[in-house]
Amino acid sequence: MIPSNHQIYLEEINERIDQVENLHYQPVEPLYRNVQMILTAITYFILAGLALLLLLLDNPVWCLIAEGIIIASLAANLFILRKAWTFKGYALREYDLSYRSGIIFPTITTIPFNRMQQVGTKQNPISKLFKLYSVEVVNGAQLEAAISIPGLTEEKANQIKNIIIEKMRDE
Amino acid sequence: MNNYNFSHPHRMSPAAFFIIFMKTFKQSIIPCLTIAFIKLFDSPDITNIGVGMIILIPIAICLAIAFLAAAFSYFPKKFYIKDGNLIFTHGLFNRETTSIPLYRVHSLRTRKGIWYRILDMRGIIFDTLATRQEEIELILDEFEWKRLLSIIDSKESLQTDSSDQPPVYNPVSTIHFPNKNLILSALCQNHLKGMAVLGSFLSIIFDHLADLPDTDTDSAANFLEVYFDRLFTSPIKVIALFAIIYVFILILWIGRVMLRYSNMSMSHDKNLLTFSYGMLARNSCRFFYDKICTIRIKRNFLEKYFGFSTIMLRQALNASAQKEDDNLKIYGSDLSSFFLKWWLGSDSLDTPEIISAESGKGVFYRALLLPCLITIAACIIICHFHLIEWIFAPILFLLISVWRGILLMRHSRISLKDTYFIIRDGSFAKCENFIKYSDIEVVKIRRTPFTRRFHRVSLIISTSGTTFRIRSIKEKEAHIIYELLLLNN
Repeated sequence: MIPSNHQIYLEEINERIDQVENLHYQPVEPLYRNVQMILTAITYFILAGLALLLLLLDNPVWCLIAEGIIIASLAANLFILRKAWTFKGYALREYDLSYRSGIIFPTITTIPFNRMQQVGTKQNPISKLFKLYSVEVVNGAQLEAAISIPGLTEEKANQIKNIIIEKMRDE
Repeated sequence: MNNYNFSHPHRMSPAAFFIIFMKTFKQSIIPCLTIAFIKLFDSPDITNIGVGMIILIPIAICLAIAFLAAAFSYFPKKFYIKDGNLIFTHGLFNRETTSIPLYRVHSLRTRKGIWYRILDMRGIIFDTLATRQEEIELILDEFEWKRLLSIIDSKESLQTDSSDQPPVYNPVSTIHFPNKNLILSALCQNHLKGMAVLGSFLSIIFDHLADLPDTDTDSAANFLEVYFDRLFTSPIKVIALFAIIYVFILILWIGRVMLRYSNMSMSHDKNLLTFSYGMLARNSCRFFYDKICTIRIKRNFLEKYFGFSTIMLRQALNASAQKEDDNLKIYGSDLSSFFLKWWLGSDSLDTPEIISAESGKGVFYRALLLPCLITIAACIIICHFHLIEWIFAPILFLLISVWRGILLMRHSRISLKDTYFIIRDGSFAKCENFIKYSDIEVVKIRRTPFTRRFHRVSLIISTSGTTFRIRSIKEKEAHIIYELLLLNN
């Protein structure tokens, strides 16, 4: 039997496929912004606490400089976080799941359903306070072996999880 | 033991205990003896009995530790095959049972170090794709190994031949790789990595100098000061010194390659490549047709001149598998088209290109960023210490970096074909990575702060064993390639 080898017209890709750049990305919950801000603040407070160890040195100026840098970084980080959550979003297509994130380096990650190995929902102590969940999708990739879609309500998280499980079964 | 047919839980043979014991002993004795020798240096007035005690006590401790560790590792371990699964029970306090479906065994790697060879044993490591957990090593004798291999092969053939199709004749051929080509190819490689190894070794020695008594370090420092003052009088002498070090590294490198890869032979059939290699310790590894995720072919200008290439077969990585073990390198071979035809199909090499994208200047600028910073720092240091005759060194480094950046930019490219795609990279060597669409796990597109102005993005493609990043390609082309990669998956 002679194998088929049809010509692929690149123009068709624009017409027939909803390209990832043009998808309507579902945003994460606005409450997720609070989760991120609390987590960031905790991290910076720990860093600030560790920087106090510099007081053990003879010159306390180093401690002041370190604390100043940490506070400035915290302020900048919180400012970026206020904007960053709007860039986070997910989109499901027929054969794959895409997740968009990043404000300075906007990134779209796509995993085909037939490569997914596990899917689950997760909560950390802070997101638990706001009743938010994240959906974690595991695949066999060497890098990016798991992507996590954060800031989802329980209902949405379960909905996405069920869709993915169903698609995985179909594939 | 030789009548064992894997049907009931069984321990490995006593020779396996000895091998585990020797491996543990080898791991613990080196740090213990290092500490003992440092202690000896610290105690100049010690008697002969004292010297004996300082050396013998760590050896005794290491023997005891190795014996206990081997016992804890050996006695709880049992294995058997049931319902097509290799079942492995282990753990002294937390009893664990691990089951690996034999048809899902991703690859089998074997170890045959010096102790294995003396006792005629073989260490078998099972790789599965499922998790990144540590995999299992069984130490078996030759009879058991062949028996296990036949069981695994029968399970795999059952899995693949589930259809009613008649069995296909699958001839097995063997290719031997000449050692002459291996040496020639080793000479063509980049030895700067060897320099880094030597550098790290010297840094450890210098690190330990701090533990020595002050009198010894002072005399050593005086000697080095006098010697290096004489040596570093001109850049030519320094270049000569580096040339000697380079030759030394070259000899070490060739020795390493010969020890690891000499007498390589490969038997192949339609579905499987089996490699056997190594001078003292004989290693073997098997690559199944459907479990290879990338074939990488590297050719630098010397290799191109001699008409061969370095071929790397890559498969999925997991926690215990070291990079070296999983990615087999075949030096000094001109069999690249054989491997590609075997893996991609004999007609696929001639298929036309669907689309391709080349990297832009972003790759060049990115490659130049770190060398520029290093050059500036080096120039500041040189000017500060009034060593102006040394200024050629950072400038030469920068010029080489510029050349490297240009080559990187020229070589970086992705092209899509009917059933596979090629990612080209490398700077002084041209590298081609052949990947099938069906092996793609994740595709990623990343914009940078410069994308709005230059319309260039990075494309990241991950398979189960490798990740590739093609930087600075045109945004429009990147999006089409992105969709095609997902469409063909």
